[in-house]
Amino acid sequence: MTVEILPLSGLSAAEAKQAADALLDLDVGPDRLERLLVLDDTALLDEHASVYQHIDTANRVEKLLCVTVGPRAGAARTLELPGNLGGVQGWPVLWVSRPAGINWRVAKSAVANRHPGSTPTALDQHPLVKLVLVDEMFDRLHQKFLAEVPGRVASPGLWLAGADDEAATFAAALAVAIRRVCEPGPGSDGPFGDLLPARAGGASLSESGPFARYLARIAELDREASRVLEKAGGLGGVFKRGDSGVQRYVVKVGEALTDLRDLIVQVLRDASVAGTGGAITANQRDLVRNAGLEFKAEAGSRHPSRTAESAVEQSLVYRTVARAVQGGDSIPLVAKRLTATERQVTRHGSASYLPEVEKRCQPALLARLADPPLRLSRHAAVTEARRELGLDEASAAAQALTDLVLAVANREWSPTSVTSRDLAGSRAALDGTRKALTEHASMAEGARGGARGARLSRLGDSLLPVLCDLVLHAVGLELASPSASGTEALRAAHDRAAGMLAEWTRHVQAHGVADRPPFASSSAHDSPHVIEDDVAAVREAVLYPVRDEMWQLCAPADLSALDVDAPPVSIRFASRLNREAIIGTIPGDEPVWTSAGSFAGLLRLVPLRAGVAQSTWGTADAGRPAVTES
Amino acid sequence: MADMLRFRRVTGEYEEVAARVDDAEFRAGEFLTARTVWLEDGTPNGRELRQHRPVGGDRRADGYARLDNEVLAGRQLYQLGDWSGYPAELVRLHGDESTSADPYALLEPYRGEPLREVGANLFDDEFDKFVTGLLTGLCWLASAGIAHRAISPDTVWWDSRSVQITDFSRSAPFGTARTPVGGSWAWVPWESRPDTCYGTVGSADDVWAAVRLIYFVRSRGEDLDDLDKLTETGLAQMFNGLLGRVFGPPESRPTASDLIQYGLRRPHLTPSLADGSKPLIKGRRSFLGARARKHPGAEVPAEFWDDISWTRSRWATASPADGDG
Repeated sequence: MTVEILPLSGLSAAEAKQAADALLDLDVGPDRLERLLVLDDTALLDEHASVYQHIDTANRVEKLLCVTVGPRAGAARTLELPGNLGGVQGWPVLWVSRPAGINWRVAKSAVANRHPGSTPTALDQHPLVKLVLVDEMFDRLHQKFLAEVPGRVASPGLWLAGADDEAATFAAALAVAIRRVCEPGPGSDGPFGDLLPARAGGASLSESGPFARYLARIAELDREASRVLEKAGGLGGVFKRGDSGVQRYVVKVGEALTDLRDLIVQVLRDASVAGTGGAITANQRDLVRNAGLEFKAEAGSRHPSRTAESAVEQSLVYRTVARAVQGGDSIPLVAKRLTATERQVTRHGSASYLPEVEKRCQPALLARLADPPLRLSRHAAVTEARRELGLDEASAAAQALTDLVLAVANREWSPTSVTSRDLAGSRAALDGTRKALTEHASMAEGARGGARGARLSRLGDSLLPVLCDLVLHAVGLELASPSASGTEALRAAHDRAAGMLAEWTRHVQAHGVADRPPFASSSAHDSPHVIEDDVAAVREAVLYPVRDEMWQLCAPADLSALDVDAPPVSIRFASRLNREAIIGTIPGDEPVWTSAGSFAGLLRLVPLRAGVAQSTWGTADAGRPAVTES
Repeated sequence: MADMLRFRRVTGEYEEVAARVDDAEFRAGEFLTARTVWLEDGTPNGRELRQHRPVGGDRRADGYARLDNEVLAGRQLYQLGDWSGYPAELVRLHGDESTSADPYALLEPYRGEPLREVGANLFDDEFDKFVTGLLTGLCWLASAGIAHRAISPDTVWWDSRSVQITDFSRSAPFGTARTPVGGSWAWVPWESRPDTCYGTVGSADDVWAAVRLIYFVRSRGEDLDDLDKLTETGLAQMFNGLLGRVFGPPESRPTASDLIQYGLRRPHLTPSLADGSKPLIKGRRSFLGARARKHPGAEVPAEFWDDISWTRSRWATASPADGDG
């Protein structure tokens, strides 16, 4: 809110001037005085006339409204005003002759009834003043006075319903949404399958590479051996003769398997990187490729023209985190899953798998294949003969070695595999964001903005898509420009998230809660879900007939000053939060949609009868000719 | 407005100097509070320090005891080296006032943030620095003959580059009888817990909590509740199986130096005293050599090297006598 208050009530002329001077001073006062609300006593208006002149001549104030409190002085029938107030040129005046007011309808024969409830003793806490302090209300009042209120002086009447204060309700609903996102929720805390090396690595054997050639040779020799065995075994598949020449093929299977194993050992040893975070060198990459391994191209690398940000959005880690967060997983859960994933992608160096080669292709097997039995068991079936010769084991060993080399390739060598640095950075970004969010929510603790729990919960739901965007934006920024350390990533994400929260709050203040802040993606748009129950009272208050009985801030004795024949000027108002729900149901002028304040309803301005308000120049300024304007 | 502070510098001389004091107080471990002071000692903008004082009220007596520990540890640690050689892994005492009814310690500001806040987010290369920094810090402590006795994510700080062990308010010199340590059992070894406290403080006391802290960081913020997790997270392998003994009785527990030398197998990271230790080892080795010439076959006394805590270990294959010291 930008409305400045100048309280002159109870101040002597000198004190009032001092207060005005302080406000108008370019050095110590506010930077801008677009809207000034002066609170004064009716009885002191004359004494303060020079202050109003001073305000005018200072050329600092764009719009001024005066709320003057108290009845007309003594037995006077007129309301005496300084020349700058009322009339055809002066600033508008809301005359509150009795702050506690009366219940009254606009009619000649209407009598004053007691208005129930208490009224704050401090004028700046009065509902009227709180209402006028809302920028949108101030502007509409000012405009209405100038265009529609004769003499620019009126008695205000109010019909109010409690309503959502948009700013406070947004803060409270955001806190609800934050709790939903930040509290550990249910769900699997296992690793993200899509990020594990087996799925992300994209390794395969190139068709013409040495690995594939050895495997093909083993398979071919194996088939040949089986063919010989079958031929020797006759139609019944029973192997009757010991020497059929199959041994030649068995030895060759063993040689091919040995070559395959030796190649794997060499690559595992020579393409190994010590430590957990290192990447293989160009030479090592060539070695791996020359051995016959290839990797699925990284999706993003096919689009070099993309911006860094969109490249990040294409990254597997980002997409996986985005799916989880948008799917309703809480930040702690996603962080936990990233940690579980990280444990399974950590690189240990390919040399650490060398013992596994020995297990999968044992030297004893190679020795057996190198020296097959010259005579096989009599009447052995082909299947038994294969087993006896070690052919089945050789085939299984070749498959096991292939599985091993692909697993190692995916985890240790793949350029498309997820790195533990990316996962740790994403996790740090999530943790930093969560910290900023929970700090923000704890500051909003207790604020409800007038909304009930169920409504807050619905509003919180409507904010979730944008909140998820905020979280993902922080993760995306970390992935796009990785921090040098975990602490730095944590702090950067915290600061970014805090900045986005502030930006979002400012955005809501300026454009309403339904409008998307700049960081939100185009798909994240969900208007606050409002049900009829939430707005019934607001609609009723806004539609209240303008001449009916309501709270008129006028003393019974001053009712005679009001012009009941003139049509009262009405200003309907409601929180911008309810705009979508009620805009189509209000006839006449569009209501004022307030961005702050917790009221909805109707403000009516009953003008004064002609001649009652008199704006006079000169009583406080002896040098200026007295001019009266009514 | 400046106050006058009169205190004894850790170097021994008394100093009286004007100081600006920030009245905002914050907790500095159990029973102590801290506030920031800037000594007007010629340092541009004043030398920023933390003034630790006992809490008021019922626990003030406990606060005095904690402050005493902090001051005694700070003075003892100062002996490790002059200001330029002071180990970065340990928080540094600037001075203290221990004679008045309102005693205090002046400490250099801690670096970074507690691992409780940032420990779950260290990158791999940071983790390595953290592990070696923590163990190196404990080696320095052992060399001063002090056990910290409260190693935890709250007392060990991290600033992206290095570890800092803070809060010596529960520290005790080696050889003193262990007193019970309260607080979360996740960070107190059983030999120091109120119900099972026994024995004397020694060089392996801090290792129990230190390894749990290493797990805390490695697992990204989890407490160690199952020793199998040391294998799952690769820590058992990283320390070449030495961690199995960490959670046993303190008598058979490896020291921080053992973990560096025979666990990580990076003996070059083991800190050495700037003076004293190497000549001592050299001198004793020469003594042993002379004795062996005079009395061939005479045994070396079991405790001969014990006061040089990190250069001799039950896991060592060679004693300092075999090396170059």
